Amino acid sequence: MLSGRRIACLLVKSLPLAAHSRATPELREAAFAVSLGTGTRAPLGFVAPAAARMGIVAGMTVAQGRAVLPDLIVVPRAPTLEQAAAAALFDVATSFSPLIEVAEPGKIFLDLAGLATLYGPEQALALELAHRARKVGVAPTVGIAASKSVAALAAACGPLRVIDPGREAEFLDWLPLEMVLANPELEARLERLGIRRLGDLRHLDAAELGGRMGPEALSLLHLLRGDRDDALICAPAAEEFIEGMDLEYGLEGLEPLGFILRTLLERLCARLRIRGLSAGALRLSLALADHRRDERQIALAAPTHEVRPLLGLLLLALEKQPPLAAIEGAILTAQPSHPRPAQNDLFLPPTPAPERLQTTLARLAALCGPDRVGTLLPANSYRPEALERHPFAPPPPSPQPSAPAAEFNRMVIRALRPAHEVEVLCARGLPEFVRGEGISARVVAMAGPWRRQGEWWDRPATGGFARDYYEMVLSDGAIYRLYHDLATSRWFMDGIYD
Amino acid sequence: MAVPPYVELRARSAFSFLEGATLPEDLVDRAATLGYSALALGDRDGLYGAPRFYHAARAAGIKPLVGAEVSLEDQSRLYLLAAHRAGYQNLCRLITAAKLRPLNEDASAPIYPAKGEGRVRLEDLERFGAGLVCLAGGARSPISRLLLQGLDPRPLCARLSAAFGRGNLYLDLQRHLDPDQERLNRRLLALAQASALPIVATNDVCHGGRERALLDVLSCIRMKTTLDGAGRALWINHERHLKAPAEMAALFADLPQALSATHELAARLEFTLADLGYRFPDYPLPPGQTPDSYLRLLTCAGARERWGTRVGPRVRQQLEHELALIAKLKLAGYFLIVWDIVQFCREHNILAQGRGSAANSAVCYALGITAVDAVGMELLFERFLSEERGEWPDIDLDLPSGEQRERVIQYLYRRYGSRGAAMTANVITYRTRSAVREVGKVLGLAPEQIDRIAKLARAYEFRDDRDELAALLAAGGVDLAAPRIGMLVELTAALQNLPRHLGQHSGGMVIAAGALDEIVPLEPAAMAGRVVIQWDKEDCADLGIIKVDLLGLGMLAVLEQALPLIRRHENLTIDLAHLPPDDPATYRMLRAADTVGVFQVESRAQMATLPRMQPRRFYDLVVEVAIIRPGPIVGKMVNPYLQRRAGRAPINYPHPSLEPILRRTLGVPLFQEQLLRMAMTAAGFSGGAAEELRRAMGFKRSRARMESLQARLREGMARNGITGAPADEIIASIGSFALYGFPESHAASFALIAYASAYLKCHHPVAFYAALLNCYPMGFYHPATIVKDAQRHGVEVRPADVNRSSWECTIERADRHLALRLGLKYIGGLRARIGERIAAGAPFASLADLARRAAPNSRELDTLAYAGALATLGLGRRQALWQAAALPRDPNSLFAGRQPPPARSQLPPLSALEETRADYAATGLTTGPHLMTHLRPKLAARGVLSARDLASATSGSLVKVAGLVIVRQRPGTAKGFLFLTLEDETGIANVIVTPDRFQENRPLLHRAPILLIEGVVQRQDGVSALRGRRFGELKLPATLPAAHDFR
Repeated sequence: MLSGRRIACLLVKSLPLAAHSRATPELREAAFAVSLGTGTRAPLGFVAPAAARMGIVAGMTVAQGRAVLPDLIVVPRAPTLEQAAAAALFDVATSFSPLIEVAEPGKIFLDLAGLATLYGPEQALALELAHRARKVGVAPTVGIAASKSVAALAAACGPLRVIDPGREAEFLDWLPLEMVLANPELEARLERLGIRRLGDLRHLDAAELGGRMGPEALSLLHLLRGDRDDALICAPAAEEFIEGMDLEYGLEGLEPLGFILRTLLERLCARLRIRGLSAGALRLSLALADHRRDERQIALAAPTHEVRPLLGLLLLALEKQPPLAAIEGAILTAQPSHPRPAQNDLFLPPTPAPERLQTTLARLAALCGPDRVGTLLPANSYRPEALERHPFAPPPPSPQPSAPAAEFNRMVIRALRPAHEVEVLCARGLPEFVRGEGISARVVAMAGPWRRQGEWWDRPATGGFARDYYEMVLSDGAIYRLYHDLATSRWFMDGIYD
Repeated sequence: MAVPPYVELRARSAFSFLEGATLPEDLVDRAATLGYSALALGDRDGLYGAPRFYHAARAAGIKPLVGAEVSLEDQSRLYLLAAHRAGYQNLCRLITAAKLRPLNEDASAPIYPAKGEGRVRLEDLERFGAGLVCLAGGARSPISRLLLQGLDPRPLCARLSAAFGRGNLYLDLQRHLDPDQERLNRRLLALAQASALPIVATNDVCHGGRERALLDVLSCIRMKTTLDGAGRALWINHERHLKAPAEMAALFADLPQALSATHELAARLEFTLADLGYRFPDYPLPPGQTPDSYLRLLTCAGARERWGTRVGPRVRQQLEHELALIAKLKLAGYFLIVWDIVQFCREHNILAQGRGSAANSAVCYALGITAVDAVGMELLFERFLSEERGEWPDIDLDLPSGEQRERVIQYLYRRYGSRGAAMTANVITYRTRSAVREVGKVLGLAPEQIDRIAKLARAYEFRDDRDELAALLAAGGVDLAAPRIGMLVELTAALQNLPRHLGQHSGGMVIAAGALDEIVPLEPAAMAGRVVIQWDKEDCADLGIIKVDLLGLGMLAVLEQALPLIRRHENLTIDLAHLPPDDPATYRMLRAADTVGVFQVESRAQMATLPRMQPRRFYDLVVEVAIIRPGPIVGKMVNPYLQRRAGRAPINYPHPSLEPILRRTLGVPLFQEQLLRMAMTAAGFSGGAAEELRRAMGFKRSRARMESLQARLREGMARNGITGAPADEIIASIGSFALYGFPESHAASFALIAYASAYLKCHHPVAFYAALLNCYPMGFYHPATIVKDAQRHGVEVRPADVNRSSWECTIERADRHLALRLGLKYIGGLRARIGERIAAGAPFASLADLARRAAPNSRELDTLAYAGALATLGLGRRQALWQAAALPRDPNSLFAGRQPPPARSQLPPLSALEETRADYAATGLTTGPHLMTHLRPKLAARGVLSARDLASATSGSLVKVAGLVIVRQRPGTAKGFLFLTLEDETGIANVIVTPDRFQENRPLLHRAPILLIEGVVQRQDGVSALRGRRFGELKLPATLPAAHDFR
């Protein structure tokens, strides 16, 4: 027998689609689909109604889908967006009831005990649930019934469906099996037996059904007979901490946004603190006035639950690349993490606190430009002066002393950057005299030419770099490295051997 | 000052797969330009490019030296050159040994080195080193590696010196203006002096001189990286190209002895592929016979069998002519070997039939190699064999596909030894799309961008004009001004046609007297038990290596299965060689396009042509087979022929001189032979030039050759006074045949099989359909269509049943007729061994008995039940499913084999439509009513015609038809038209959809399994089709067989 409990189910039928629609509102009416991979052979996992109307079905590959509908918009699955949408749904549920079960992402049960006094009849409650959900960008269907199972099925039939007490059987008998079963194989087996609706099971012997089709089929019969009343399993703690704010008017400047971000961070950090956690990473999602979203990830060098450094990082990130339109909403997501151990190695010099280092680097990046901060290292190129910028990282705290070289007879070159242009006088094609700024000497001995060519793909006009390198002992007693640029016929001094 | 002579001894071509960027022919061109007198080519672990290099070099007057760079087990490499034939043989055997030695010698499933790689051991070098000269310089050689590691290489030098013989181990010095290399050179020089080893200069050539960018791209493809990411993994500069002798002399000015050594060594290397030493195996002759006398004996005996008393003077004269030429060219042994293969097939009841130009030979017909009477059909023997061409004839054998063909292949391996026979290779080259994808990746383009460009480039295949690719991309919205896109276009064009990897030819086999691995290196094929040579069939033909093509043909397997069935159930022995000629009933059937399942003439296009062609004799069928090919279609020859045949157009000829050649085909060239004769007559081509034209037509890599030949044709015709429109017409005819025209003899061979299959379908339909269903997958139609066609021909098709069916489809005797029993192989998901166990264990008394003795798994048992295959156990489908589900699933259970008690549950009865759906779901076809039967009452009420009604509908009337879509086709030659074939319970209806309508209804036409179409009836020469205007989908929840979609 069903108890007198009333359960509501909030259901987002296709969370990946809903998540994309929420993040990109213009997709809501568009013919789009979510693929389960990249490339044209990836299958389409979820198909928006507008695309389905044009003949796109889940399971087609991207190529097949585009063959049917050339303008089909295909987006990959976005777990982050899906989590955010699920978290938003969770937020909606928590705003109604403390007794919540998250059955799966996009499917939440609420115990409605005592809510009638606040919201009135169940139909009105369902409407309010849907209304609040729409405010955070999701559009769940709502089902209310006496048990979780029936409420979930009612939600699946949506958009708002209240099953009055005592009328469960009437509702269930009609349901097609495909709505009830998540097991396609069992569904196919039952379908072969002519059982297409839940009510068809009434003609079967329970023992025979259980013996032949297994417990899952039997549970359907129990559901039908009202023998199943699952307990509500209260929701586990959120894996992400999300705080957001919708603004009634667009914010143009960063200063007022700073106040809002501070408020959000204070709430976020307070929640983290009471759980004994820190923010390991921050994600800021700004809703812009032109209906776009500004998403940015703020990396943290070390977990923290301090508002000040976090706010500093957020503002630096925004200063570096201001939003392109007025801000109408912001969502801050914190990945919880355990705090960094405070104690460093006792026998090593102190290193800068990682969070402060991160803040400093972010500040520098905002000042100089993000592509001008880092560590320069030699690039993987035959061009000696080629360098690559790598993110700055402090040297390891305990450098291992390198073993003394057994036989160290290599020469060391001091590279000249940029290389100095010099004049080289040649006789019979061979360099004889070098003249340039601070140098004027005769070639005493020489090795080369050593030819280096490459990067034609970066400089199609000149065919890449092409140089002949020489090591020259000049009459001033020093050894130099020079190169002859074959494209321009100019000579450069590139380094001096010590 | 005179430049010291220099010969490049170390060069690799694009056949070093991703390590060389130039085709052998282009390397030779470059060498000729630079004034080389000799050049060596040594590709990595193979002689893949050697034949092409040899022919190009011979034509350019350059001595082609043969070599290979072999990889050792430690990934170091040695470069080997063949000094003489024994050395060449050792080189082939060395590479073969390394290729065929499994990496896991103890494992039962051998794993061989990756394609293009080998793992030579030092012991191999000791075993096969004689006659080889080894160049052991360069950074990759094992000696250099030891030097670079500071280890003593002298013991290794001593071992290699012993392996190759005194004076045959050289240290080659390379100078690419690289300081690291120069340091190595110093150490190599010191070693040479210390060990008294000769030195020689080489340039380690990787490309001809213009392909330096392409070489970097290939390197990146090989290393699976991008140009931006490759960095120092690429060569330090672009010096690894074929350099002028003067340039090499300047580089080695301080080591003149290294330069002069190149010339001395090249003079010492006397081997070229001219001295290959290939010999075809001798056929074991009876005592007292010579190959010629024995061939004559067999031919005469065969002729009496073939022609009987009809061996008239014409036949005798032709046989004598052919035998004389065969004797003159010393080819009798070859004919005997092929005859031997055919004999093997005959003895083992394997159908075998020669195709291709062999069908032009009366001797082949007499020997039973071919089935076409070359004398009766007046076929051109010279197309098969001519003294002038001086090459081996090409005999292709069609065999039943599958196991029977494999038996013949294995017979050849047994007869000639595992090293005496091998499959020919198929060189897979870069095509536009693959090139775009590879180059795009290397250039670091985004995957989506690459995908888009690759799709746009699809239409560009096979063309040399890179401007056209650029135009295609520009039209597709690609920004050609973007630097990397411009590079993509350039590099794609350059990469196209370069070899990518080696595949296995579908059926070409070469055999040799003695060891084939002394002629060409062998490699393991992907298929277990097969080996493949490193040359493709063109290379083999060019080098005079005999090839026999053993090709699998599904229809031969059908015929082979049908004949014993007819013998057993109809008590009639049918000899395919002696079918009644020009059987009226068979031709009536062909004229009505009633050809589902008939070889070569069952496609939609063939069916549309047959009623217009009105075939009445064998030659009409030959034409029918040849006319629906891309060549005649693109050449716009189909309609003119059919119009002339129907008497609606006058018969005329491009030029009066061509009348004797084109008379048989009403003035329209349809066959390759006609084009050869046209070239010979109109343009004065010699037989050899005409043959060159044929080969240019037949092989895709020869498009450039085609164009030069066209110019020669035009000149020749002008000399004979043929200019203007007639000349253009002749050129266009020949050009269109580049897109696959049929030779007449080949069409005749296929027409024979087509006739045989039509004859069986007409007169022995039960056996024909049973065999056809057993040989699926093959042909054009799904078994569901074949079953319905059988039923429309009065064949009773009975469903699969565990107590009646075998694994394959069988024939049962009904009261007064024969019925086809569907085999258990059509039960979806039923494993063959379980099906065979059921067939062997029948009859079964109960479900439990079946479960106990045959032990199907639960899924198989369910499918058997759902398919209705348990009907003779007294169970309806749903009862059977319900009771099968109650059986203990574990065969070891105590209750296994116990019959479940009678069911208490009430299951809904199965409707007729559900039964049809169950059939489709469980077997992919139905032996019951067609799906459309269930919809017919409603369709009839809406005025929808059946396929049968459509055939008699008034032309121009607006009607509706509906049916299951069994074929969707949009051929490239049809200018965007879509052809649909709908099937209902009365037959097949053809629908044409214009490009506009197709675009408007694209999603629906792409996917809807059942269509309702309104359109206008079109009738031409008795062929009805509907020109679709409006389209709708009929929804019916069922798992339907897949249509023959866009194939």
